[in-house]
Amino acid sequence: MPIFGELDSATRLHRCAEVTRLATADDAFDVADVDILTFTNEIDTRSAFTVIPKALHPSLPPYMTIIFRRHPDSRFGPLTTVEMNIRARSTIHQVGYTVASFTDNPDATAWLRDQYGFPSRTAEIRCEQRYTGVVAEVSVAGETLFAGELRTPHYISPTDVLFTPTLNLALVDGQLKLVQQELEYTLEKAERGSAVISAFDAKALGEPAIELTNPLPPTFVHAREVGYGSVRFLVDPERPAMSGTVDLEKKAAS
Amino acid sequence: MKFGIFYEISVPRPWGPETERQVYDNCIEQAVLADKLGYDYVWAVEHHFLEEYSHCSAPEIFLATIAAKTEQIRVGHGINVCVPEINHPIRIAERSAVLDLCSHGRLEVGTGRSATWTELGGFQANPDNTKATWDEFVRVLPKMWMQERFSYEGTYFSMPERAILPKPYQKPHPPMWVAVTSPGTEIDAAERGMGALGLVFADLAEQERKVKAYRKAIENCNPVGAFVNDTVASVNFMYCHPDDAEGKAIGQRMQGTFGYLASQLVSAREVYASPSYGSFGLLPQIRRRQSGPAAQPQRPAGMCIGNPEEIIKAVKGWESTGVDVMNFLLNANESIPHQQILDSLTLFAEEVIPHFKETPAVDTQPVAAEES
Repeated sequence: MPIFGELDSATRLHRCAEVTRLATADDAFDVADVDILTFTNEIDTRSAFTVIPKALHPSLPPYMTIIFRRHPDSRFGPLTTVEMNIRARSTIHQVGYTVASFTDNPDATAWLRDQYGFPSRTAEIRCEQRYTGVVAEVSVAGETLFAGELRTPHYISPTDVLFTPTLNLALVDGQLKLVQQELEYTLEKAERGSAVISAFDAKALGEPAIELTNPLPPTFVHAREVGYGSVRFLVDPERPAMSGTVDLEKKAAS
Repeated sequence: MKFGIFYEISVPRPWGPETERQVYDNCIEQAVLADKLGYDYVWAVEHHFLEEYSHCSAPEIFLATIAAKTEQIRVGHGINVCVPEINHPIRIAERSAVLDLCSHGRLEVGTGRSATWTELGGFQANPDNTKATWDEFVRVLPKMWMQERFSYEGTYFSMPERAILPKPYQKPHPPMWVAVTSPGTEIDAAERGMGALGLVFADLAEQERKVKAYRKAIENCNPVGAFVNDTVASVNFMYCHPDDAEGKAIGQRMQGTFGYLASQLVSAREVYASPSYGSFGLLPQIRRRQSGPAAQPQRPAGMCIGNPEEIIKAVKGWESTGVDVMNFLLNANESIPHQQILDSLTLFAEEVIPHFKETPAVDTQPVAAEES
């Protein structure tokens, strides 16, 4: 069988969100006109294994995506979020294991923590489209955690860009679980460019072992709509996902 | 209908000092038996860096070993990765010619471009260019084989005039194929007069549609080589057992293992947004909901697992789609013991193959040198 992650999830308890109420179908809502900037980097293989929970398989090579989502309007007003995911496999499915998450709105931070289990923190976030590309930055208390730029953009088909669900390590009913969030995208426009990463503070992100290595072309897409849906799966982080997964919809129906 | 066996050479962890040798020995013994039993082809992939899934990075050496131990089975290099960072076209031409000579004219030359970032990224190849480099390579390879001296000024490689040696034993050159994974590649194959080497598990209806499109397109092809290889091969799992239920159970386990390993690969499409690696064709793109981790990949219809009677029915289904060759994966990560594979190959040869030998198969093979 493929390699499994090696993370003892309890060692990340200090930064886990405590879910107060899992998002259900009643909580689902759509946000229009969302811009999404994604940086993709391969990361050091050995350290990636130690950062990924035992439920998941690391991809080979391991890689990380840093995703900025700029919402012109939302239930919290204008909102920008950032997710930093290590891509992995939950049995046969591509997923992103969230190692850090940020919003620029404290209410949104609380909402993502409470209902989806994101390890969100409130931060200063910049994601600006310029003639020469897109610049993006996350900083907390004046310290830059990540800064990157998509340069020399050119149009590609939106159908060439893929997104995957995320799994957030969180406390649910007092137990550590991986909470699976899936977004629905209706993409309209996409660009691809070259990446310039000028800052990445792995230590400040809480995962000092992560080392960005081989950068891949970043993408910038415009989504006509992004749908935030319900949480559908909870996964035991310490057991293979094949046996440690609860389907919440099935559970509710039974 | 012709039948072949197809090797990814997957090697399960843990990897001890003997593990890879044992898996290679098993595969070679199976191929030698397949030759004696009358199978038509043995194919081997070219993959790099794909842990467990495929440790077959030098198929020309594996196939040369098989050729030295066999008499009639054709050896298929399925495929040569036609990406300059991975293979220089001159080296493909040279290696192919040597393998054709050493096998006394039994080589089939597959071509393709790799579908994983694990491989392309490892060689620092640009996924945007692989379709173009593949196209350039397949147009020059026959000329390298047929012309006494060859020179070329191209987009992705150039060379001054040299004699590329040796020349293949088969004249004018070995049959050429294209790996068909992305939608529409069967048309790329047909337009160039090349065989379509199916490497994905299509269902019967989809296969029939692909074969029809291929046959229509190849009527007006502009062949890259000296002859048209109007042949469609599909790939399938095969496990043949006297007891149907046991055969199906073991075969499904193999298929599940293969699917699980395959899903761990990092496809080019997953990380590198490029039109070169097939879109879903939906505009605007609407995401489908993710299925649960415990969900298994759908089992394709027409799998050749079970007892001989059930497999004959399955093969007849494939035959009705117009497929000329069925290539079989026999194992995945050694999930089936080697002796059982040998027994399965034997039972299939004794009970299934005779049902499909009455119809003369399409003969597209070129003439060997001694016969020309």
